[in-house]
Amino acid sequence: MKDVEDFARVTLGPGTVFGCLARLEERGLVEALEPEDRRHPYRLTAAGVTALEQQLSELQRVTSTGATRLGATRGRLSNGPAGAQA
Amino acid sequence: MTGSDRNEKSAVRLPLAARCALVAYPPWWRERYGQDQESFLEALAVDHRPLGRAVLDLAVGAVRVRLRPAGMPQTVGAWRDRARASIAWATVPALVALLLVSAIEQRSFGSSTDAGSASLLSTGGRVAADAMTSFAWASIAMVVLLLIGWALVGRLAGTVARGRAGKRWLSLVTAPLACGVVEAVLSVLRAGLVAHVVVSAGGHSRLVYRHPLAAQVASVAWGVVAVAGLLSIFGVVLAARSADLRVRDLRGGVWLSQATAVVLFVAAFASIAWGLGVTHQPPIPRADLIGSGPGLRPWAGVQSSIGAEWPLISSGLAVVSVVSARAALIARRSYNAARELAAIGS
Repeated sequence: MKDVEDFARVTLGPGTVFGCLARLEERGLVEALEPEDRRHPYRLTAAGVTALEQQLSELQRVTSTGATRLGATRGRLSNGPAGAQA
Repeated sequence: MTGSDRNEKSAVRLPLAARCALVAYPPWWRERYGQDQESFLEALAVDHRPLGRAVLDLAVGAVRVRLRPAGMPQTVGAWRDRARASIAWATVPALVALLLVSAIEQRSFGSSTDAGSASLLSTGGRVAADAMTSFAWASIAMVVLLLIGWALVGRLAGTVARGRAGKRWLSLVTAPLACGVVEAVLSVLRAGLVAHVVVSAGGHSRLVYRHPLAAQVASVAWGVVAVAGLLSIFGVVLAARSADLRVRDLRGGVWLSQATAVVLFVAAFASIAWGLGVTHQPPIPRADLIGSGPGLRPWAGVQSSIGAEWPLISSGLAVVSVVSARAALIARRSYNAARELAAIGS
């Protein structure tokens, strides 16, 4: 959870985390391993890896499109108010 | 949870709210994720991080799992437990509603078409009078349903007694019923102490007791027993939870939960109709009220029965009826699923 907090800057509660895990397990995207010190480690299944790749690729497409359009907007803004209005 | 698991527990003691939130999850979930969630909270406690948000998140997660059991094993036991818990959710709120109803001064209301009231009541007033009559009938129906519920639980006495609750089931099951009997006696006692009703200029009526102190004691006792009865209903839930019930044992409970939801809906609708209707009734002249024929007495009662609390009572009943209806639906579906799985298994 600390890892998620560090890289995503989001604090997840136990109800949310395990609710998500249950849904992912139900869809066969993750699987639980043998418990270590009362906690189950989880790993992605093959289907989970595929699904994650698709999601990341979709995110990448959205972010790159967004970045391109943002760059164009910045360009217009740098040309002055007339450029921005156009 | 196994014995070795218990021994592995860390020394961190979670607050009561956190433990309650953990217990709020269904048994299959606790078996699967209970240890993980507990150790998650313990890790937060060890790091001296505030638990409030985590506990709230846990509680919301429990409601979510109850509504949509993602990952629930498709076994007869899991569906049966879900049906049993849903029956409790559908029927226990009825007792809460009864408490809300008890805040309303119950009267016997005649039909709005009574000769005396018909000439003085507007359409809104007649709607309010009829709504209050429906409300009174709904209250009686709820009491009947609760008695049927106890009869159903009593029928399962043998099964419950063989469960983990053992001999405690008797006290667990009979306590709410005993409270109900005491409530009825106190209500009769209080009604018997009424000397007369005073109708004020605003049309509001007030009860005058022959022995005010005795009436006050009876009212306080009524409230205390009502709260005790409400708390003791959880004993019935615990007794049923610890019993090894068969799927077919739940059939009566499923019907009961559906009937309870319908009656609660009627009560909520009547309460809302009363509030809306009474606000559209122009004030009735004091002289007409004091001259009260048989048809006017109900109206004086209608005006004084809920008063300013009606939005709160109506909202409470509406929320409870929605919870009850949703739980009754889940109970029916879960019961059907458990029955189908049991049929496949046999």
